[in-house]
Amino acid sequence: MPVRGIRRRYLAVLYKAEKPLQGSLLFKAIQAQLTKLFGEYTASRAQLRLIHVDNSVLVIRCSHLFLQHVRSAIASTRRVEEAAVVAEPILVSGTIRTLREKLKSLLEGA
Amino acid sequence: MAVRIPKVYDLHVSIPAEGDWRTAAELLTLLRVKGIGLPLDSAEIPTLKNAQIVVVRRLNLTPRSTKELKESLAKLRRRYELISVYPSSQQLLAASVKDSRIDLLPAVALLDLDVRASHLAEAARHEIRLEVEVASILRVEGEERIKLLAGLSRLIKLALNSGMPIVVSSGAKNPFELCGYNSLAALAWLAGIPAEHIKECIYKEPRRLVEINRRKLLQPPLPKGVELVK
Repeated sequence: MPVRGIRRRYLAVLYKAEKPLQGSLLFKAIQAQLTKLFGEYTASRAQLRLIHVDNSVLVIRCSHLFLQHVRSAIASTRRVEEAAVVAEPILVSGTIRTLREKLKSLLEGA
Repeated sequence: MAVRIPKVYDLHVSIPAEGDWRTAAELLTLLRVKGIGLPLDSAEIPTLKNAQIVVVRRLNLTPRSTKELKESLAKLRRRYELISVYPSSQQLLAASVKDSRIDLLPAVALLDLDVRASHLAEAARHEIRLEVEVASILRVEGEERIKLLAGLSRLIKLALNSGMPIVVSSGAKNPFELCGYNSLAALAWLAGIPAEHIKECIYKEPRRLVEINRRKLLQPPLPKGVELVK
């Protein structure tokens, strides 16, 4: 069976800001942080996409080769448009379906 | 599908007593932090007790001379669960790495000093840990961050080669600098800790240090290596 060269990873990011914040703005800040930390080349290869946003959780997709880079960019994003924010990459999965199952289990268990 | 995120001890949180502790307690619960090392009296912050966060009494020493360091350690060791020393000179560094009453040497304090592998090997023999505070990475940008990351990765490599244990803490000065397990892991990787050592530095070593020091404080003062069994 052929194996995909670049596999995808889905990340759930828990976030809380000092003011109400749109998830899409946080995603842009993460993209900017990724570029600032690792450069435009890595940012382009990481294939970062916003999959889903709600009030406190962001779902992001990236290439499995740059998972650590993306996690570091998320952890170092602490300010979005003058508002302080904490963003924690809580879960990683290979498919969106398992990520949702894990997220449901985690939030129910909390 | 059971998912568990490890609950960590963040051994250095330096939010001032008059800071926003309500938000801090909320975030610590959200980020699943079990306990924090605090250079404050926990009685000043009742919100932490309500949020069931374990408080580890910590002392940050910034001595001006070796004599002052020795005197402070003799006087204060049994009153604090954690003692970290910020050496400001080569003499203080040499004295600090030989004193087993010290628990932590913060990496940011060592960046301006000439730290050799022999210093860190001596520290490892005296059960002193290197503390990497990740908030320092968040506070700077550009050239400053490049220098900081280069310095941290050099120290981390030296510590790993010298057998000195590493502890990763947030070093947060405001609630929005707090980190959970995954953020600490991501920033530790950025600082240069290899992936295979990350769990040890974030989860196991801080827990071990708190447990050992709490056990020591419960016992009467005994010479090194002697433990009261019964």
